[in-house]
Amino acid sequence: MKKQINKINRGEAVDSYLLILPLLVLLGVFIIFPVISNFIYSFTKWKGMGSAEFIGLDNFRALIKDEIFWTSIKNSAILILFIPFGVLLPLALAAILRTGLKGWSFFRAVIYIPNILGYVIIGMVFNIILRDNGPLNSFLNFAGLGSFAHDWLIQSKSALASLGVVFVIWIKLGFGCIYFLASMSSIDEQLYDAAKLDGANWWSTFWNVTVPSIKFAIQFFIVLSFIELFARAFPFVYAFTRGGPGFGTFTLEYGIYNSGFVGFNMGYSSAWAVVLFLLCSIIAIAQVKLMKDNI
Amino acid sequence: MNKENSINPSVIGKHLYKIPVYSVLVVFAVIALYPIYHVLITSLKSSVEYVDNKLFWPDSVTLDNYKYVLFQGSMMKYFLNNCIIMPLAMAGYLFVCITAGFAFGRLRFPYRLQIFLAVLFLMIFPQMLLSVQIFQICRHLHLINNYFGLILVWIAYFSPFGTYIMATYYSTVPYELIESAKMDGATIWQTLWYIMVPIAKPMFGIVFIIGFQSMWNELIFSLLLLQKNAMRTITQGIGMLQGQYGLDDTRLTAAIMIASLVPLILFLFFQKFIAMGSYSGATKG
Amino acid sequence: MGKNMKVFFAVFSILLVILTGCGKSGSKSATITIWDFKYGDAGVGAVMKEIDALIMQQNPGITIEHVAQPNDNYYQLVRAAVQAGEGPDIVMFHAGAQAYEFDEYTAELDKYIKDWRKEIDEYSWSFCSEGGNASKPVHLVPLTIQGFGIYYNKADFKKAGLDPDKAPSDYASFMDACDKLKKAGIQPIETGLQGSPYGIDFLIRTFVANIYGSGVKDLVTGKQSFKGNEAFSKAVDIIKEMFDKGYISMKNTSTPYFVDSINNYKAGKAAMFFGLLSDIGHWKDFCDALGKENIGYFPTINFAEAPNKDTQVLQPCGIGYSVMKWSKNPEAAAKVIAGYASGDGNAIWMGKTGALSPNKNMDINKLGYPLVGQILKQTFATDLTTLLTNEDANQNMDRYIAQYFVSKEITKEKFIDSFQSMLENAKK
Repeated sequence: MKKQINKINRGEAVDSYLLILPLLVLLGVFIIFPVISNFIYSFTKWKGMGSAEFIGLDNFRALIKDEIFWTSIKNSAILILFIPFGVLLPLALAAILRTGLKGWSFFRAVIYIPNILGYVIIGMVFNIILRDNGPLNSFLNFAGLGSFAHDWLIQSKSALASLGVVFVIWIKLGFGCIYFLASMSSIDEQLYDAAKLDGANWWSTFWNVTVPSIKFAIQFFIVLSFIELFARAFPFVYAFTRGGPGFGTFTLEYGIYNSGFVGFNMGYSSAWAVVLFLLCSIIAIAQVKLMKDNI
Repeated sequence: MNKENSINPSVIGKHLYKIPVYSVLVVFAVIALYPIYHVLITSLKSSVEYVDNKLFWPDSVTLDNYKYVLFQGSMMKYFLNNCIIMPLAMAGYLFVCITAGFAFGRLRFPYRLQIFLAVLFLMIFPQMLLSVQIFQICRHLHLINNYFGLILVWIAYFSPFGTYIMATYYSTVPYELIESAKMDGATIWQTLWYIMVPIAKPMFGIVFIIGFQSMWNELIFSLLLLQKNAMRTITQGIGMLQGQYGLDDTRLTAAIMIASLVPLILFLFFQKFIAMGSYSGATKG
Repeated sequence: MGKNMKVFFAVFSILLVILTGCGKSGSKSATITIWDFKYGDAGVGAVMKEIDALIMQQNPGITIEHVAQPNDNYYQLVRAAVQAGEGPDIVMFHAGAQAYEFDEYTAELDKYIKDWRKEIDEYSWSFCSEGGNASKPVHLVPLTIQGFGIYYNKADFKKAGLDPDKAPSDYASFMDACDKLKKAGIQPIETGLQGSPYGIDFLIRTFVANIYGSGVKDLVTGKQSFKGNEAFSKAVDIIKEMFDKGYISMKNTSTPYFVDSINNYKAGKAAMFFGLLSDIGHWKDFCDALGKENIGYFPTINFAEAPNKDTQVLQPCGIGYSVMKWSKNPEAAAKVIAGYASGDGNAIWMGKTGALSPNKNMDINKLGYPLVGQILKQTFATDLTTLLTNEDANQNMDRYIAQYFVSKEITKEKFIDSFQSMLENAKK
């Protein structure tokens, strides 16, 4: 009997490896290899062409002294503060939609539209919307809130805050909503019935039934928000502010771009990338831990 | 709304409760839709009108920006290129996500968790970090100016996330389904095709849309790998249009509208399938 | 059998067509591929198509394949080609530090340009030689010269009670003119401040030329500096004053220099503009929009601390074409370039794009813009950014300017320190 199970499992194992083979081959060639090469280049001086010259830890020494580098770290840290709002808002919306309002499917489609447009396009559009003479300020003036109106992208503080609101909160609102809704669909309806019997109001049902039931989905979404912020924001920032004003919305990714693809100090740029790699690894470890607990 | 119901006070209460909820939803809907609306009205203005009318519906609607962008700006040509690349890329992407997602999510094999976690780890790296080296690899494999190369890179970069979604979904499918299929003498591939693919329909919509929009809007890899004008994608096309000194907002927005049209239409089509994912929860409540 | 053979040949010939189509080396006529960051611009691209056709007509056997590349990622693509050791025959470069980085990979052109070398000033050729060293071989053929200056709208001057034929020649008269314009309800200066405030960038480079003159090069050797230089400090103050007094409008924080503020100036929205000499935002642009008689020009705002009066900042070459070493037809490629830099092709180039060509055979008077002659009369000094590193010249300098003048987030000391740091980077 035991032998038979092992036999079956062996067949399943072979099949499984076949099933994941395409993914692993592609990842090996196009992700793992580049990441390793990047590590090697971080110890060299390389102009993006010709041969690279080994210079040990010089790039990292320069990095520690680079003011722009620390600005980008600081900016990223501030942007993290927007993540709680970026998670809670779609969660609350999904909880509202879950109860099946009339027209909810239309609404859900509408709020997902920003995700469809792509980060470059959204960056360009919001650059126009947040201008001094743009629609947002006109609306504020119209609403009698003219004192709040100013050129949002000309001061570092307001530019960074705009980046946080648009990129961390607004863009993912639709995706978060749909993702949470999908997760909520698997919650056992009896839990809600029981809560109703206990006389729980909407709010306590939300905290005591909905949130714990989709804990995993929420944790995943938090991790995803970190990934987006650290490793997917470049196209948006590039189109939105180009890291400006000054270095006001400079992120680590933007630093890699600036030193690597404007200055063509590829070795130095690789050193930035190593730092980003380490930060991403922390996020990844958090994510891995999360998966271990849940799968 | 309904006269008969409005007599019943408890029903009135129920409806009253919905007013603030609807108001909130409407506000969010407006915030979500306004940017694309603003793009649309800007694209319909002449650059002369745009100098003084930045906010309102154009006094005289013009399609000149679209004509310029489509023909002089070659967006038409780039658009056709996308029509060649996208179906192939999506087919490969879905294949990888489903096969790997199924294996990781439901099958049992040695080192499953370790390999899966490694894949998730690899999902994180920014394109910026990989692009130079990916170019070098593709050059050695003769994949520069070759759609096949770009498609492989796209699949490698974007499918870990799709795999992740599929795997988490498949992990909720009862294992008995596979065992019973096995009892009936089905191979893994038959199980995959006849049971696992149909069962995962609720997730396809979102996996498809995420993959499609990621690839359609991808810029950095396509830029390095497709260096011939005749091969470029529509997202590259916007960059090309901007030229050395930038592009008028009116023309830029026309280009944006054209580039966004297909993803928007596809989304409107696929959102029905997304709906299935949350269908049960919504109607039961 | 016969049928099989036919199928075989059909397949074989299709393969052959595909292979040669890819390689493009099988045919006898030389196909010259050009990479270009200007060709994508619909206006300039149309002119280039015309010149390409002319060159192909003059040189039967040469086919030109002109490929537009995206401006923002241009050098990334050129580097990728260099790493691959293959790519286009001809590559467009920005002259100066950006081109010198590629000296190892671009062909020496001296033997190809022999016949017409004298048409272009040696000042330009030496700038286009290896590392900018006149005694080294030429690697780049200059297509344009580039520089900056200040344009003014004479009608506005008249309205404000100023003498339209007398350009403000110094600090006092400039500020006085601004004051009078402002009082007359005319915005004195139009310059876009969004993102990169190029107008301010151009003005600072002009002031640097006025302050250091032929010694601009000493800035990167360490003989001169920004820090501790009184004249540079004064230059910063002058620009600051324009902001503080509202001569430069903070309403323009939402206006990109390219192309919005240029369009605004062409629409007559302000009296003065910190413009360019070639390509865009220049004499032709403004004369065409506002009338030839109506546009005046002066090279800089002279102030007492800057000894080099009226010096015109200049890049002896703005952009140019190089032949890559891997080209299989360097001779044909050089012919194509000559078609652009001299003769009828050059005349089309200069006449229709408003580029300033360094070719001395081009009769400027024929262009019909007297203003050009006036511009080119000035004394020239090297542009600072041709000496800086890529990153500083293309992005960081404008970031410092935005921080100090526009966002007002750093002190003047910090601003000057940042400028000094660009010199330190260039020394490495």
